[in-house]
Amino acid sequence: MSYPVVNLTNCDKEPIHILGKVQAHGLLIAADRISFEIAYISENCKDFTGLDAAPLLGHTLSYFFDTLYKDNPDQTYAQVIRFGLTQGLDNLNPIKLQLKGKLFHLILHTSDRFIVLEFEPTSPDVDSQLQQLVGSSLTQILEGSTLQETLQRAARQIKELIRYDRVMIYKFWEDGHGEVVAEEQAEGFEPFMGLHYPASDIPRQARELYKINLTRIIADVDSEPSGIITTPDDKDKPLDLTHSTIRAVSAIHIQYLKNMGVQASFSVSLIANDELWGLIACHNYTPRFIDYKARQHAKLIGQVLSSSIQYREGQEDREESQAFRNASDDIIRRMQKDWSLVDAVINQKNFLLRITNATSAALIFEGKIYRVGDAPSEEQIQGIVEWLQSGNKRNLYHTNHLTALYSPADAFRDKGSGLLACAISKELGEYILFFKPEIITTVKWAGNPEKPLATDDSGALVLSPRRSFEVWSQQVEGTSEKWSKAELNAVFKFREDLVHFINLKANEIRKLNEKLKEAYDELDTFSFTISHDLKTPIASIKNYAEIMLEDNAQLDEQNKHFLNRIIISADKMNTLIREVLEYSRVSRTMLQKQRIEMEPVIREITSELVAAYKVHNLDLTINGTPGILGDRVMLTQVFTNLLSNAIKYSSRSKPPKVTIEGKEEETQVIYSIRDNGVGIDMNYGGHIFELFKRMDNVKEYEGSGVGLAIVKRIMEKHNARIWYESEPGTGTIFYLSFEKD
Amino acid sequence: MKATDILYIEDNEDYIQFVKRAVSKINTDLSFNVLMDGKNTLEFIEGVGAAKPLPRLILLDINLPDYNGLDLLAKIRSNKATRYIPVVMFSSSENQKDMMKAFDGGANAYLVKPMGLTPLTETLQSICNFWLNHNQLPVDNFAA
Repeated sequence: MSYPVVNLTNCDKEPIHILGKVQAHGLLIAADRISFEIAYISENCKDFTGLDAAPLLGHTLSYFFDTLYKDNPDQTYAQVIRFGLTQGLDNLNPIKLQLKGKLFHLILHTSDRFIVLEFEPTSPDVDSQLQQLVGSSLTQILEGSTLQETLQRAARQIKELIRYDRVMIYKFWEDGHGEVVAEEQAEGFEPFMGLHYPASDIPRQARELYKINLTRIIADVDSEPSGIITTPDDKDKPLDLTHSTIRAVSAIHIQYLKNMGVQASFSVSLIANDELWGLIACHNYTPRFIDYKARQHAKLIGQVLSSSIQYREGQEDREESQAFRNASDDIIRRMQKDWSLVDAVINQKNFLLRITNATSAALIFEGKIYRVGDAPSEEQIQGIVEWLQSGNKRNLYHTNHLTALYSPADAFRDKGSGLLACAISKELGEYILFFKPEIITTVKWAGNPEKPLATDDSGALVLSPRRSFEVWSQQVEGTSEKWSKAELNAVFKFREDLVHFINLKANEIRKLNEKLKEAYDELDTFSFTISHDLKTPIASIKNYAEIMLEDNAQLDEQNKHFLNRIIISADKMNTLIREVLEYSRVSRTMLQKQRIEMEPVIREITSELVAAYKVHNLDLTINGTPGILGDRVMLTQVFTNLLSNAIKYSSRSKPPKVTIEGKEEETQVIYSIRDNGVGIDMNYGGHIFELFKRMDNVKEYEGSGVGLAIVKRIMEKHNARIWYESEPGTGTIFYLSFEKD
Repeated sequence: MKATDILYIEDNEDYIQFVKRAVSKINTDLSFNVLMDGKNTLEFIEGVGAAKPLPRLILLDINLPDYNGLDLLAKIRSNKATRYIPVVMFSSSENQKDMMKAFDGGANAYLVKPMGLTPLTETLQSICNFWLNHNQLPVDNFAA
């Protein structure tokens, strides 16, 4: 920003309405409302009346009019004005009169304690032209079926009315910058349709004035404005020109118009919902004044257009809201049908993007990131989620300027300068994110940004579209289009539905879990009962086989063998049932925790097992036997099963070696049971603890595949851990880790 | 009429067979009788007297079709004639409560079904040794 005079923030501070000058085409006189003494008068008085301005100060309006019309004493304007002050000036405006033989309009308004008289030229044929135009033009405008069409028609009607070279309808965006949304221009002029202008082109306080003065004419940018003079009494107190129609224009604005080659400018304010919605901005490339009545008609068109805009925008907003809502409802319906959030949100790509005007979106759910459209990368999204989780951000969080809040967003400003984040669960980092790209990438700028800057001879202020573009592009850097109320409402509603759905689903899962638990308990009871009841018939089978064998000594060997097989099978089945019963008993029995001295327990188990497996050459080492807090019966079973395996599967090693080692650590007691037996392929992993699971390499050893399942169950019941290391052919180490308290 | 050495109250034919077999293995001379329901058992207990000699040992199932063996045990123990007869419960119930009730009600032993023929024989052998050979039961004076 190295240009000397152009400082648009300065521009914001310039007190436009008390400039103390009027445009050259009009004469201004202000007099005290009561005394009618003239307090202010524009210096160009002589051009219009032949009377010098300064001597009139202090004289009354009656004196002024009497002097003006001394040859025609019937003219009683002073009385008319006094009448107007009591009955309403609007009914009076404009007063047609002649100054030096030319036709003028006198337009009255009050400012503080003054009555302000403004004289501006008119011509006799204006009235009849207008009568024809206005009625039909309003009808035509209102016949537009869409807002766009209405705007276009309004531009055409205004152009016909005022006959300027270019009539634009200019809409202010929420951030204050403007866009040309409709245009009519004379042949041979370059269209400005779709171009954007920075907010600073029309300073804030100028925009406030546009809300008060609904029309504004600058008849000739090259004419020399005329100063307003006053009595010494009032010289420190300039006249408030807020309501003046011939008020002179700020030098900056004149320069701006000149830079665009505009000689005359006329604007009509468009106001919707009490806000300046936009302007009908008219440019002429030669000086052109517009008569007061024509301006009033333009104003009427503007007012009709304003209410049409308000209605239609409301309607279009409602339609857009409805469209957002429909898209959202569609997704929710789909969810309820399939019970899948991800399928509903992601597989119907268009739907998620139809909830808002976002260009891309992402769903972060159950540890996965799903992207829709040209969204930032997964890594970038992960970063956003972490950032969203930090701090007290609301469940619905939105910005149109993410880079300012979260600097890494700079890397993807072309995709996500605007972010609307909808938290499904902040704790779990589950979100739906909507993105809007940086606005600069989507906007046509007025003028060619590549064109070199123009400077005037003095090197002073040169405001041009080129220059504006720079200012504006800096202002909107990293900024997206704002999130509209309709969008926010749609996402808010969507989130409510989503969370409701998730709660429903969670409930469903909880119910399912309860059912599962019931089924599991039932199964446990069932397996206990069935195993128990199986014992009796199996015993009977075995007993009868034994009786048959006893009673029939004459049986041949083969039949004796068969009966023996029945007896052996019955025994096997009995063992199996006993173990299954033990397994189910683990979950049916309450833990009775106590401190257990492990040494006697281990000694007893090993001596019993040695006897049972008849491994008299067993090399047994017991190394440390710290006490364990647990259920005596169950832990005895754990050690019995593990030691039984260790001894059984090493029984063919020479000699079988089993080492039991116990260590006490800070918070836990760790036991290891090591053997030099057949070993376990580590690829089995945790499967070795499953019920009835037996490894391929132990087929020749007796076993049911229940022992380790029981061990695992008991360990789980104790909140204790079990794991193992093994190598086939070398041996196995089982580790048991118990909490100390 | 020959006195009954062992009275088995049981409805399951299999177990009648097995116990019969076990008893015959212990001593072929032992007399063995079976009652298959509670009603007959009650009649038997009521009718015990000079005409109907006392059994020397009762083996009693708990789950009978019409009666609970524990109730029968109570009847046996409350009848002057039968109160001193040793009663061995033989049930498939491993329920601790059933066991406690049995002993509280005056049972002398409790065997859990199922039982293999060999352990059954061995167990019954030692029970018979104790109750039939080495112990003289107190005898009430029925005539009085």
